[in-house]
Amino acid sequence: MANLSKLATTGLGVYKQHRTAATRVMYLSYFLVLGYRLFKPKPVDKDAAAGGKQAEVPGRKKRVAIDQVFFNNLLRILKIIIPDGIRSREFMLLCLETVFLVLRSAISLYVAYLDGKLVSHLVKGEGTQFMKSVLLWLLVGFPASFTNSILSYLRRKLSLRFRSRLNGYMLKEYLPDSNIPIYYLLQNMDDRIKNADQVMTSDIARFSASLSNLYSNLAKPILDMFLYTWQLSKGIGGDNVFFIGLAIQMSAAMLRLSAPPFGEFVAKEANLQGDFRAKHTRLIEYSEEIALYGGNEAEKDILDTAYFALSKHVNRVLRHRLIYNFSEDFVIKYYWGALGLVLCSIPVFFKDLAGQSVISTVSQRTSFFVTNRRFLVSGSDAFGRITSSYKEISQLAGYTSRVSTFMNVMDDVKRGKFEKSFMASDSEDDFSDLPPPTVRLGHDIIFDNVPIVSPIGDVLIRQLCFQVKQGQHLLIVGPNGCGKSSLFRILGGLWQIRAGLLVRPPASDIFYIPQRPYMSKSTLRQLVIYPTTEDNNTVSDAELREILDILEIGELVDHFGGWNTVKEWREELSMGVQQRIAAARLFYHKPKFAILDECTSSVTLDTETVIYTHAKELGISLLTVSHRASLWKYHNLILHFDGYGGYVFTDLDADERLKLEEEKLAIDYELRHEEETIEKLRILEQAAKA
Amino acid sequence: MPVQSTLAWGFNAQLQGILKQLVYILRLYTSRRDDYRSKLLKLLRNNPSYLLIGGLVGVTFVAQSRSRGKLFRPLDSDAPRSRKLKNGARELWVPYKNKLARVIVPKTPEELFDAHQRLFLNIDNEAGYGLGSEKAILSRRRNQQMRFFWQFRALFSILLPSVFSPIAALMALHMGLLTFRTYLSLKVANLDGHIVRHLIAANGKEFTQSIIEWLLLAIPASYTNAMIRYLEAKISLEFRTKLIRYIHDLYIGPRMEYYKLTNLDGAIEGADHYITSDLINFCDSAASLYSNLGKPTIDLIFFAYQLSHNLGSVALLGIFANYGITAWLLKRAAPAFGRLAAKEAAFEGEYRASQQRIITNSEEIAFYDGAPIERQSLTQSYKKLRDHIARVLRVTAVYNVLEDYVLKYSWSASGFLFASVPVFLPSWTGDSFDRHATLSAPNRERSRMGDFITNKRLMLSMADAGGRIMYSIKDLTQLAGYTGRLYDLVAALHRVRANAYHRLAIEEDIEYEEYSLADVRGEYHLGCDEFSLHQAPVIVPGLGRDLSAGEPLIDPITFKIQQGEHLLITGANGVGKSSIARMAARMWPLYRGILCRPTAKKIRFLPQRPYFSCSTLRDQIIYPATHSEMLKAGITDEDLMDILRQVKLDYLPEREGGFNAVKEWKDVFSGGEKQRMLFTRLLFAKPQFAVIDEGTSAVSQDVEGLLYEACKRNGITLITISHRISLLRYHTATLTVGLGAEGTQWQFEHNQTDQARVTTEKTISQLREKIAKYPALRKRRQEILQMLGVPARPETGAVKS
Repeated sequence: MANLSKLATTGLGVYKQHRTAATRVMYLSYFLVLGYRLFKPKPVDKDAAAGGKQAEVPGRKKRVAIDQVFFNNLLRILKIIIPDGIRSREFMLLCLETVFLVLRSAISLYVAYLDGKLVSHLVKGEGTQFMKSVLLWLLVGFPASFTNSILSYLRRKLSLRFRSRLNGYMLKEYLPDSNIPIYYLLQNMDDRIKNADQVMTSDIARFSASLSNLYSNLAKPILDMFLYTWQLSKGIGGDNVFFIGLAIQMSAAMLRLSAPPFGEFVAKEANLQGDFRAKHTRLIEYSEEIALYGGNEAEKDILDTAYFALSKHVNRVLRHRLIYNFSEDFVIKYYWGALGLVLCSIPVFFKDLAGQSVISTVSQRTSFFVTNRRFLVSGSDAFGRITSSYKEISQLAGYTSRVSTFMNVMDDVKRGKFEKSFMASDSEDDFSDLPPPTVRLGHDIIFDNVPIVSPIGDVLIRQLCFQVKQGQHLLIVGPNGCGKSSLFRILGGLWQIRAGLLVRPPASDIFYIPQRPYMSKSTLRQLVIYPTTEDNNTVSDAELREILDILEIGELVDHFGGWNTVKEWREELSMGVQQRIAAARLFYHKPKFAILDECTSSVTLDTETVIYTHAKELGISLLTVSHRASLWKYHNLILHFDGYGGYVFTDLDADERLKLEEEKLAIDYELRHEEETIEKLRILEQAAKA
Repeated sequence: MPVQSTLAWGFNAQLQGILKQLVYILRLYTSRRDDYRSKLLKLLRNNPSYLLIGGLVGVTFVAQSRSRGKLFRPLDSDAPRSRKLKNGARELWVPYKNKLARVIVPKTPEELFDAHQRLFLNIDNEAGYGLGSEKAILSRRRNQQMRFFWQFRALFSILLPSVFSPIAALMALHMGLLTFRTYLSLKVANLDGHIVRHLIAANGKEFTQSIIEWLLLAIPASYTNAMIRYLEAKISLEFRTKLIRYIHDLYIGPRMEYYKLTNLDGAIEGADHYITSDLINFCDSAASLYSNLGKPTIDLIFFAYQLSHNLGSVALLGIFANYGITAWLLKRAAPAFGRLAAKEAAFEGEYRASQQRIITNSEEIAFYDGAPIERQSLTQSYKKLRDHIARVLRVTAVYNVLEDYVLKYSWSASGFLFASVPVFLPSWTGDSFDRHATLSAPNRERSRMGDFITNKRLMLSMADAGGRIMYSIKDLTQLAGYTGRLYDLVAALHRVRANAYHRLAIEEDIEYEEYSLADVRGEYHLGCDEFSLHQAPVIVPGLGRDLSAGEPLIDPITFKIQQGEHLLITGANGVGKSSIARMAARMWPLYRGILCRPTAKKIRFLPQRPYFSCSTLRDQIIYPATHSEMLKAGITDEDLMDILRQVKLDYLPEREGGFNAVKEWKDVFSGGEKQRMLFTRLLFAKPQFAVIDEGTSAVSQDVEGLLYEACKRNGITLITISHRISLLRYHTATLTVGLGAEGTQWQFEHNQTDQARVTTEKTISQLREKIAKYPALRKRRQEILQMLGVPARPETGAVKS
């Protein structure tokens, strides 16, 4: 016994001697462990699940790892949003924020001391001193609240600037000046990006907010923690603070270990809830059948069973949660509170264990206690924030990966690298028997042995050959899905050719008018001259009016109050007027070739005549897709697809063709009823026999 | 000590006593003396307050074991999973933790639904709530509040039918615990003050004792906290169960409300969403409002009382005035955050819409090569958004300075001032003398310190409580939303159940149109031994939500089918064949005329689309009967095998793993199997009449014969709806609908009259002539195709000319 106490005394003595070094070692190892835990990916986020309902179902979203890839991606984006390094305004804002952060911590320290002083004056009943301190308190409030407000302003301002930078960069990449239509290719030729608008709007916004928040959310608590721990250690002794911290950590770990598997529970509950809902949906879907069977009792049993399975499970979770909540409340609220009090009591009761400060009088103790308690509360708050910042980092990682994936895919698409799933089985066709793919610019349109292949690999036509010279007019007919639109996409340069020779005029000489014309939200003038911008427009309003008058829609200008009216034209104009606007665009641009894809489906025959004759007068070569026989007379060539990979390219004689077509239609009608007639006959014969 | 605080201090002292006793028990226990048990008993006798804590713990355990269920069965048990009990309740066996647990589901009495019509079918809510005719003067907002109140009261009468229901007991317990918690918080605040006082005084022993007391106090405190949260969730769950049960009984009744709600009434779309998510939201919101409003209110009263005791009523008034004035000031100074946020959302939406426009029109834009102009317009749109956000930031920053200053610094400064009242102006506290005046200087300081800590805690808690009450007012508007939706559902269900459209028309003074749901005058005669229609038109009903007119499909029909006759109803698609079945099944209203048919048990309907419930293979055959009903009727699985043999499906039980297998049957059976399975339902039920709607479209003709013969053998009179003429031979009469120019005429004939035979022969010769012409037509077609230059299909390869 005596030996033991002697050993303890010696041990304590040795410890006291090397106290500073020991404390330093302890803190160092502690921060190492903390850092490790922060960046170590957790398998199941138990804490989040314990939080309650807002926890998401595990396994639904894959957690993005925080690794080298993340840092590389982040660095790449950082170079975009802080382009000029330390000279850019973003960096200045960051520095300013840091300055204010430090300032705020300094003010917080001062406020803590002032608090202690105030209370000690109050306790001592020193009226004048107390009032002075209150006044001082109110004065300190001004810079303090200003600092707080400016910090939140700077944070959000920074986020906005990040967003603007990134947005501008992405827009330039997404809608480039070069003739590679990234936005189209991304949408139609590649599977990797499902919703570009989501990335371009909310993902960018969230990334920026997350990044700027992370800085202040990490920098401030780290600064605070160091500051407060230092201050506390000064008052109480670093090793004591460390031991108490260790006790808190251990109890927290115990709590975590004893937590029931809330993640599992939540998943199961979501499952049961989904099941219950599915059964209700099924009831509505099959309500008619169930009503006919009179199956209400059976259905009610099924639904009630599903509900009570859910409610029983919820009840079970509630019971588990009750016990967990009890222990959690006990540990966090009361046990830790008691530890804090004990910590503050150390310098009072064990003077030789405390730090440098010597306290003897009551008022000193009061002031000391109030100040240190404030440090303790703020310090532990900062500590809690640091531990929970893991969640924020992983959130940022998620947004970073979304944004950088989008950027990577855009780069790939620019380089002509696409990824598309479900390729058709015969995509293996490499067209090696055809000449290698060549695209040349010229005056005419020539397809020489060009296969028409969709991006998913469906071969629509193995080899297509035809030629349209300027001044000729081509009619293209065939059933749906035979490759008419694909032909135009190849002609427009949207799709690459796999083989053969393609000669086409430059993009500015081909004009495309789709069936549903694209109506932008812009001024009326812009609507007509699209895609030319108003700055580059050389045609006067009077001339534009003339174009519209040809199409008998000149009064639109008066009706909508002039050329500068901005409207959502898609909703304002009828389809017939929209198609006439599209024709006006054709007349405005006067290209050499025009592709008219069912573009007169909603206009009258008279207007159609006006459009076609005027277009021919302007010397535009027309390539028309239409089922309307009335259009045949405007063309002298025909390309006829049969829908099975075959086609005919020949001259067009409109009248003769019309007659034959009509006779064929009549015969087709008769032949369609053939089987039906035979079946009817068979049954009637049978019935007569019986 | 002032009179008004005697109670609080008394209770306080008692609790302190209890805690001291607990320390004593601990000491007893650790001392390991033999007589500690007798001492314990004596202690309990002397201190009945232990029974309170013991009782609370006991109630929890009772509540737990009550919901734990009494009986379990293994998952693979063969016994029926549901059973009807004598009093109308049902016994269900519900999967729970790898077992089946027994649940008794009581039946909601029909009388309750009848009584609730008063609450849910009263269209003129305001009038029903006792407001005079001047209600028009009331502002709209007031009206909305009244409406919410009325709706909530109606729903609440479902949740809490009487004050003696178990939910009421739970709520009372919850309220009791809330009060207890507030009391404990007071206690904690006081103890905190004590500890600090001892700390400052450097009273080591007292300090340690207080810390132990603190930890001991923590046990009931955390128990109460956890229990309050548990009870809140529990109350929400009980609300949910109560509502779900009520709605299920109302929704899935013999009057086919689940069908009529969507197809006839039409006011509620997506009832499943209402029943699953809206209902949960309502229950959570109602339960949390109860505790969110209840706790801060109790807190506020308690703390205010305690503070007025500690600081005096003048200071308390000052505190309230301070809160009130600053809150008013902040509210005045606050920019219109709601409007700014709405504007920001609108700009965001616009920007996003422009992005989406690019995606939807990417091809056109690519053809036009419109990237530069689109980028320009997108940039403009973004700039608008950015400038707005920047403006909001500036406005917010200025306001934040004010808010931060007021909330953090001026409030705490005034807090110091109020806390200093007992020190500097002791006469204001309501005590006639300074409590500390008699103490020596250091003691006085310590004591003041303790009081200060306590008061600070109390003021903080009170401000917190006030804030919470403010927030829960926001919750109230949310609850109003959920209440409205749920009320709409229940009201629509009541309307459908009571068929109350006639009344709706009268009360809203609308001239209802002919054939609307308020104009149903047909008569059903159930329990006849025949199936007949007398002057009954077929009409597609208009929706009940706007009482629109129905659309007549077929002229009034009259015919009669006796038992033993078989009827084929035929006609083109969409002329109203299936509608006759819907009318007969009473799903659609019978607008005019008379319909005679047997009772529901004796007539069965086979719908066109096969329906399989998600339960066992056995349930598919006996549907809509249940397993326990089957056992009661003395039918065994062997009998079911017999039925399966009749339709040549006897391989199924073996293939699917027995009659107890549960699968998604609509994916398991092939088309033909599905239709044969449906016939087993008829063969199981053996009704007098069966209405079969296209029941054999997916089976071959010989199987069709097999199925029809099997039905006839079982004495079932068949009414078939089909456009397949081959079915004629199994029927003795035909009703053809969709005749005449407008398709509204009909013809009823008994098959195989002489006249019919003559017309048949004539048709046959006409058809033969027609068929003879086909080869010539085909040849001509080829010629035309060649002339048109179209290659003969389906040849492949290009032909060039």
